Amino acid sequence: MLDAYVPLLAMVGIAVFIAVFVLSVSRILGPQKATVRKLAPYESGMEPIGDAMARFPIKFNLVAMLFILFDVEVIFFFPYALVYRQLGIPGLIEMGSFVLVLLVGLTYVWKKGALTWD
Amino acid sequence: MAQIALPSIDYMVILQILIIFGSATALLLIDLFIPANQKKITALLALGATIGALVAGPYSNSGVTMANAVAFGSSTLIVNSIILFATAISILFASDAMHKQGIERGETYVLMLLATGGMLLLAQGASLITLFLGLELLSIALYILTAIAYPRIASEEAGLKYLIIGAFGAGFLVFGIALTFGATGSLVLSEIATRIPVTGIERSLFFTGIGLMLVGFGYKVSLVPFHMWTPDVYQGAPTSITSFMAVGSKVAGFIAIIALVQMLGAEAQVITPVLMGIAVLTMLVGSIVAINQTSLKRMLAYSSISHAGFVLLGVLGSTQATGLRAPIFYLAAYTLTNLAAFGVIMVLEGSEERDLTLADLTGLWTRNPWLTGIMALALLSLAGVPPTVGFLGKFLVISAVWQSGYMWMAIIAAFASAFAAFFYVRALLSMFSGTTDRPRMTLDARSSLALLIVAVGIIAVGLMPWSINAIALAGS
Amino acid sequence: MISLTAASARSLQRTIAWIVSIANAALVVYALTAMQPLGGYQFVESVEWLSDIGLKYAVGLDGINVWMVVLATLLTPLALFAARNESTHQKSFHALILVLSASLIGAFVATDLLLFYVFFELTLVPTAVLIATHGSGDAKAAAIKFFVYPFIGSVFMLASIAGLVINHYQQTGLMTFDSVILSGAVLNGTLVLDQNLERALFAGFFLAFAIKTPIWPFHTWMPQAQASTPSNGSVDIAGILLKIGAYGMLRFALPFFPHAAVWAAPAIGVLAVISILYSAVIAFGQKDMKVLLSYATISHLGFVMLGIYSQTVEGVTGALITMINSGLTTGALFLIVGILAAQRGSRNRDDFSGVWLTAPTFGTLTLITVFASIGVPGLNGFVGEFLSMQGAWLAPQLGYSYVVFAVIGIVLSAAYLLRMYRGVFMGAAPEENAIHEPSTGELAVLGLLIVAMIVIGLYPNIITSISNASVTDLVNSLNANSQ
Repeated sequence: MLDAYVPLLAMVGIAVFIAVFVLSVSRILGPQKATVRKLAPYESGMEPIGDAMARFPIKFNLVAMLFILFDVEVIFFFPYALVYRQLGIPGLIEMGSFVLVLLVGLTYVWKKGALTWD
Repeated sequence: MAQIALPSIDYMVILQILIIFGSATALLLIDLFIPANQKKITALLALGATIGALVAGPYSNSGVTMANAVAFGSSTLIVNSIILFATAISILFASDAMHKQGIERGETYVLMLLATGGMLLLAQGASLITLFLGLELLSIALYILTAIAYPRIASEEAGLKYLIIGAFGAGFLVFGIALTFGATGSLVLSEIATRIPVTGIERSLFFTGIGLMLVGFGYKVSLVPFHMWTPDVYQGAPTSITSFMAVGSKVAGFIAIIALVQMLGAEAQVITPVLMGIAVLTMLVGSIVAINQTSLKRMLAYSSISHAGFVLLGVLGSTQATGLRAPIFYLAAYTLTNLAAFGVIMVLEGSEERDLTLADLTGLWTRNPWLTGIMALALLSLAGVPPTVGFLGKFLVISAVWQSGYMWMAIIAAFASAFAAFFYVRALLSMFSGTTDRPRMTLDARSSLALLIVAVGIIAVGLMPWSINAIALAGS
Repeated sequence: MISLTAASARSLQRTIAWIVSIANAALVVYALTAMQPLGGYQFVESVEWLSDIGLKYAVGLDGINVWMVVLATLLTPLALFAARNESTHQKSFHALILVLSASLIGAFVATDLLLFYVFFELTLVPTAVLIATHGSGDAKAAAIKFFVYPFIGSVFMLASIAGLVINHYQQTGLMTFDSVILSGAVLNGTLVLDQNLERALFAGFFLAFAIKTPIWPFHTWMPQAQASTPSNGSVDIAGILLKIGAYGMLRFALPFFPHAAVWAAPAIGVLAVISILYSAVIAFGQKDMKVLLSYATISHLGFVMLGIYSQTVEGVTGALITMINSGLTTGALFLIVGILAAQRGSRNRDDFSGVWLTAPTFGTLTLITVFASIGVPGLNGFVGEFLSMQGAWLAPQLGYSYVVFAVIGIVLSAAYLLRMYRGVFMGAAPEENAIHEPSTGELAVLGLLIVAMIVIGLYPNIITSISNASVTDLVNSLNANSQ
């Protein structure tokens, strides 16, 4: 039964090999001349500004969390979109109740004031 | 295109789960429109839902449904009833105590219902995925409940600790499920039971998987050496939540362990020696460390660890044709007793946020004899003194273990319970000796009712024939 | 009877406590007169309780336990009497004494092993609470010790009970805790225990009962508990009710494990003799009269053990009579010490002298009680100790060497009790605060106890006529087995 996993093991092996190989080759063969510019943290080509540990309002956190919550639910809709005909009415009911539960959550968040910025 | 047939669902099998989850969802909405000083309405509704589910138990259908994911049987009925009973009592406690301490929120009751739903899923789970789902649902709700006493630092700290340790345990569980699935190709318990590999690497993987799952559940029921979080979390959480957590998650976790051990059938002997060792360690460590505790909640936490060892012993004694009577009865006894003990501590805390110590029990007799009586009953039951329910539980476990041929385990169990008696009795006699200048205290109706019910239960279930016979019926 | 006591235990009024205890005594006296001098249980009541594990609520009286019940019911009013001036916790005191009395009677009459165990452990709770609530000094520590020490023994007995019952179940297919069935099975060979297993199970029972009795070296909980209890002796009188240890040996440990009992008898005999001598020597040095009396109790129980493990009719009868005597005599002595302590506020024997001069009647009654405790012929103590020693002498597994040492114990007990008596009652009376005669009621109660002592001393048949058949049955079954 475990034979089925052999290709998986091979793939993991190849991936590890390529990563290690490429990095070590460039390390060994490449010229290494450090300048101030090269040693600076990479920030999309911009000059680094301020401290990376800066504090920012907790509100962003809240929004990010809510986003993830509702965004992850969307994942269920993609497979459903592919097979909703085959699932028929029972599937619609199931999905409907799922959305209903989500709606309860949304109402809760809304009423609690988590969606107002100030 | 061919229609995809959804697995048929017998809603009567999952009746209790449906009631709990349905009312939890509804309650979340309803609670939005209940003013902050009227949260006892939420509590009342949650209580109603719990009692409704409790009453619905006997009307549920036996059987397996949802593609072998959820089952219901006579032993599930007993376990579900224990869980729902604990929830109902805890709601009464929480409604009183949290109101007094000014930390009452409507969400508490919703989360308690959700946690209860998780416990029911664990009890009814017939597939590994259901077990995982139940455990996670239970755990996440409990993480929040532990930290719900915002802005109390101890509570937040406990919540964080519980979250991290719990996530760790869940990791073990998932890994174990993956290995078991890999080795047998099935997630359904009854199918796995027929496909246990007999030789080769699959067999090693399978038992590694089982071991990892047991570790995952071991965290939940706080078996040694996975118990470190227990005292801190029990101490930090609001007491009404501690009682709920101590009782509910232990019952549910053990039911899952029982399901796993039963699934293994005769093959269970592979892991029995290890589990025996763990049970002995758990009993002894719990009893011995508790002696040194002064905080009442920490003491009860270690006591609950020690009791977990007893239940595990009962589970192991039951693999051999004696039925599940011993562990299930022990869990019922544990539930009643701990609800009473934590309930009294909670009442004693009153509106204070202090962690109570043994010294706070001194002279309780002169402050409130009834409360003292209930605490005395609870402590005696924890120690296993007749005629309380704890005694019968202890006796059933010891005889089950002996009957399965593990005579030495029975003797070690006797030894551990003798050890444990010391600190229970110390607490018990503290209440009767000495004097205190604190005023007499009065009780809230909700707490009184809840305490009265469990106190009567401690005596009645310990004495009445129906209790044990009912569980014996469900036992096999 | 039990249910009557238990039900009214919650009634908190003192009068009710009195009525109940006296009604109980009357019931027992009725039972005593109605007893037939036959072996086997009478007044049997048996109700299925937890049928699934074979537990029954089964009680019955025979010639042995009826005396235990008599003792318990007679001493309960005595304890209430001793405590009549107790002011604090009046209500709880009476309730607790009644609960204790109920559970004791329950333990004595239970014929179902697990039911016995339930009552056996239940006796710990009210007594420990009594010590904690009414004690002086470090009462809490004493109460904890009082509870935990015997509890440790009894959990091992629980394991042994489980082992015995399960072996019986495996061999006969019958799940039962009925002591009659179990000992019957041992007797007629349907239950055969492996030698080592039998000894292990016996050890569990022995440990529980030896701690409870107590005999040396398991006795350390007792003097401490006694030192911390209130001076009036009420709790101690209740405490000497705790004859369940010795009773349990006789009723359960021996018939279930006859071979192991014979095997262990010499060792236990040695422990019993050490108990007698050791506690006598310790008692000699005690100034606190209550502690002295508690060592005297341990000494008496050494004789009881000797008699029981002789496994002869004489020895067992002697043990039974000694148990009753110890209750009567030591109970009376505790009452006396309580009376003295109430007047002087001290239990130290050095604080008293010349009581006889100011309270001659009291002094006379005390002297008779002391003689009874020492074992002067004509009084009850003599009969019991003599029979116990006769049994030990006749028993093949013990023999005369044990008796020689036991006799030394009697001599020592005469020494310490008479020394105490001399110091307290003789000599010159103090100028002021002399002890005066106790009230008529107190004297009357003492007088009643002394009448009982004299009656048993002169006419022990009053006990043996009822107990003889049962004792003979028991001993015969033991001997049939141990051959």
